[in-house]
This record gives sequence, structure tokens and C-alpha cells, in this order.
Amino acid sequence: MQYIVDWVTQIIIFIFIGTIIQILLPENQFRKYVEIVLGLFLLLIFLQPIVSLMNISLDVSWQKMEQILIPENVEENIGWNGLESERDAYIWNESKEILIDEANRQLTGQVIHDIEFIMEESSLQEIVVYMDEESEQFIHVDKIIVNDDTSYSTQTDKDEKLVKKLQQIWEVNDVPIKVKWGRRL
Amino acid sequence: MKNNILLIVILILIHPSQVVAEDSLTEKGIQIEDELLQSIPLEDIELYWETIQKEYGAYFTELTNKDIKDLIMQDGSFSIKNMAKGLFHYLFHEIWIQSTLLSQLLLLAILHLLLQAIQHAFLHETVSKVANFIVYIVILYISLQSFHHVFTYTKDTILMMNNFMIALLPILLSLLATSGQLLTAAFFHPTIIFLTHISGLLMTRLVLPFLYIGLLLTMVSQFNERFQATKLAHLFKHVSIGIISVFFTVFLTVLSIQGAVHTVQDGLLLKTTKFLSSNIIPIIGRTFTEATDTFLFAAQLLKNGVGIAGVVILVMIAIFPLIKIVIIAFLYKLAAALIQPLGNKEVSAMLQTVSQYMMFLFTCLLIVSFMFFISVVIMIVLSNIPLFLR
Repeated sequence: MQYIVDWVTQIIIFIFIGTIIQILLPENQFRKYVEIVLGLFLLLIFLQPIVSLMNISLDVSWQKMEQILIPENVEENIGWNGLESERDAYIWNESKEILIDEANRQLTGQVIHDIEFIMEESSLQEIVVYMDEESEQFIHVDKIIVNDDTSYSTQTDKDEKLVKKLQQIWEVNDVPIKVKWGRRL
Repeated sequence: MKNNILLIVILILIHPSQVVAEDSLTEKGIQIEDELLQSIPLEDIELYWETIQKEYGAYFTELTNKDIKDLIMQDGSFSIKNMAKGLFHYLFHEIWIQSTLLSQLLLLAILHLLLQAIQHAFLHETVSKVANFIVYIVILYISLQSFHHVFTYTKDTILMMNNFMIALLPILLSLLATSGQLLTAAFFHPTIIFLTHISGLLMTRLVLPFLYIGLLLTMVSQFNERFQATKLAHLFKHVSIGIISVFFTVFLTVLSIQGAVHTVQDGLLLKTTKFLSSNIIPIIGRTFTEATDTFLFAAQLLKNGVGIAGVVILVMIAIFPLIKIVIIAFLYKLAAALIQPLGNKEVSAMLQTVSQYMMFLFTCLLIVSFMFFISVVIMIVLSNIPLFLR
């Protein structure tokens, strides 16, 4: 509506100006030509809506319409993808709890706080296990051997043993497990 | 023996109650109607009624002492004689007010004539042209001013009728549903509200502005022969008239045909329920149906009352602006006719166009008020059909 009003205002103002010019022009040969030129201008103003209609590039306007009608994140808006990812997260969380429970029941001396699954293209690459020594429990100690250099198990040895055990418990022999001591940051 | 006694007892019990029900049907109905009237919210409609009383009370002495509830219950009907008298008063009052406009226009035309005569004495064509131009602009200014006045008046009236319909419909439709026509109410509610809104929007945003644009273009192209835009003006005029006529047709068709279908369905539904309840439920069934009937009857009466009050208020809202616009348009036409013998063709043609476009505005207002009028009337009349079906 505003466009039409603007257009008509232009026409009316032009006709006014044309009338004033007509009055001001002296009666001679050139009068005719000036009138023709003014008429052509008026025609141009008349044609303005049609020209602007022609100028509309269909592709660009379709893209604009597409942006309005079908926004890019439409799937998120609809909530399908959002729902799916939420469901996935829920499943992962549940299985994590189950795994931690199972391992803690069978492990002695260590407690698993958390597990992190490292995914790559929807296949499990690695399991990172955050664990601690169990401190609040009395451990029965048979013998304390100080500085016995024969059976000195390093930290890495211990880790490897743990990893083996965890793999056995969780029945995931083909997935590498990484043990990190301390709580997850 | 025992069975016979029981039968007699039952007959005695039923018989007098039926007679009583027959006798006091109307009495009870009126009582229920009163109670219903107390419980419906009439504030919105009352507001419009008060506005009308304030504005036009001087012409209708009957209006001032009437409450909206009196109007609904039809206590003491309007006398048509007094109405006509009031309208006549208003007509002449308006002519008296607007006649200054006529004298202004005539004076301008005569001055223009004198100016031309003086300039012809100087034998200068161009000077005379400039004088013509200035006089045209003054006349254009005056006529556009009054056209703008009429335009805003029309627009305000249409919007007021629109708002009034929106205020009236919930009450009318809830009464319709109370009188047992659920399907009709369910159909009319969205349709009529949608159509009223659309009609207000179309009129105020599209049709009236297009008419205004058409008038402006016609007026401007009467300044000179060289640059004309009359065809464009005709285009705008025809588009606006086309929009009105198409919308009017759709409005009437949808309301009358669809409405009739739903009311007949409602009537059948009511009849079936009544039949079932009076035949399947023993003894109490009959009395129950009778009581329901009384209630439905009362609701029907009240609905008709509210509908008629609505129609009266609608007519009141519309009729005064209509008279005013007709008078202004008529005065312009008269001015054009009077000026023509004086010899300036352009001025008289200008005034003629203004009056023509004012008549278009008048038609728009008339059509919208007619549409609203018809829709209320159709709602009342159609919802009375199930009464006959029973």
C-alpha cells in the first residue's frame, strides 16, 4: 500500500510541475518538444512499478522467500534433531552408569568416578576412565616389602593391569582404554 | 387390582402437572428470560448505546430515556413517526451547516469569472492561465478538505460498526448456543468474526484509500489537457469497486447457505434429543422435556431481543453518517450544476467528480452497514428455523 501511495504521489507532483512548466513556457517552436519530453518522463514514472517488477531477479527473491519460509535450522526448530541428540545423550548416560557400577563392584582398591567415551564418526574410539585409589577402606595387608627390586611394579604396569581387567569386565577387547588418575576436570 | 390403583395414581400425578406446564409456559419463559438477562454482560453494547444517545439524543427524544435492557425487552416500541421526524430534523440541520460550503464554492466561482473577465481586458492569455491555475488550486483545496472529512468520517463509522459487531457477537452467539443451536453457534462464531474483521480491514486499508487515490488523480488531471491520468484513476476506482462486490457476494453466500445447513441440522438434533428423552426416560422424561422446552423458548426470545437491539444500534450508528455524506455529495453536485451556466467548465467538472467519489464512499459505507445488518438478521432468522422444525 505504501508503495502505491508513494507512486501516485510522484505522479501527482509531476503533473503539477508539468502544468507549471507549461504555464511558464513561451509560445514558440520548442514548446512542443518540451511537452513531448515531459510526456515521456511521465510515461517513465507510470511504468515504474512494471519496471521494478521486471527488475526482481526471480532467483534472488526465491532465495529470500526460502530464507523466510524454510529457515536453515528448520530441523532444530522443528525439534526432531534436538530430540534425537537428547535421546542419544540419555542412552550414553545410562550405559555409563551401568558400566561404572559393574566395574566398581568387581574392582578392589580403586574407584571409578567417571567415564568418557571418545567418538569418531559414530564409532567408539577410546574409553577414558577417571579413577582413584580407594582410601576410605581398610585394606588387609599381608606383607610389607620395602625396596624389593624384583617385583617392582611401576605406575604404568599397574595401569595396564587395570586396563586389562576393565576390558575383561566390560567385554570390550578391541577398544583401547586410557586410565587417568584423579577426578575429571 | 394393585396394578390398576398404581396406574390411576400415576395418571393423577402426571395429568395436572401437564396442564400446569401448558398454562404457565409463557409466564415461566418470561421469568427465565428476565433471569437470563440479568446474567449476561451487556456493558460493551451499552457503551455504544450511550455514545449514540450522547451524539444524536437531540434528534431522538425517545432515545434518551431508554435503557439497553428496555431495548432488548422491547418495552414500549419505537414510534416510526418520531423516528422519521428526528431524521428529518437531522437532515435539515446538516444542510444548514453544510450550506456555508456551497456559498464558499459559488463565491469562488463568481470571483474566478470576474478575474477572467478583467484579464481578458488585458488581452494576455498566459496571465489568465495563471489566474485560472490559482483559482483551481483553491477550489481543489476546499473540495479535498471536505472529501478528506467525509473519508475519515466513513472510515471511523466503518471501524465503529466493526467494533460493535465484535462486542455484540459473543453475547448473541452464547444465547444462540443456550437456545440449543450448538452447531449454528459453532459455525457462525469463527466465520462471522473473521468476515467482519476482514471487511473492516479491506474497507479501511484498501478500498477507501484506492478511491481517495482515484479522486486525487482525476482532480489533478483536470488541471491541463496535456498530462492526463484519468485512466489510472478509473483503474483504481474499478479495482476498489471490484473488491467490494466480490467480498459482498462471498459474505452473503457463505452466511446464508452454510448457516441454513447448520440450523437445519441443529433443529433435527434438538428434535431427536427431545424425542429420546421423553420416550426412553419414563414419567420424568416428559416433564423434563417440557422444562427444557420452556428454557429454550426463553433463551430464544432473549436472543431475538438482543439481536433486534443490535440491529437498531447498528442502524443508528450508520444512518447519521450516511445522511451527512449524502448531503455533502448533493451540495457538491448542486454547486456543479449552479456553476456550469457561469461558463467555467473545469470547475464544474471538478465539483462533479468530487461529488461522484463521495457517492462512492457513501456506497461503501452503505454496503458495509448492509452486510453487518444482514449478518445479524440472518443469525436471528436462521436460528428461529429449528423452532418450526420441532
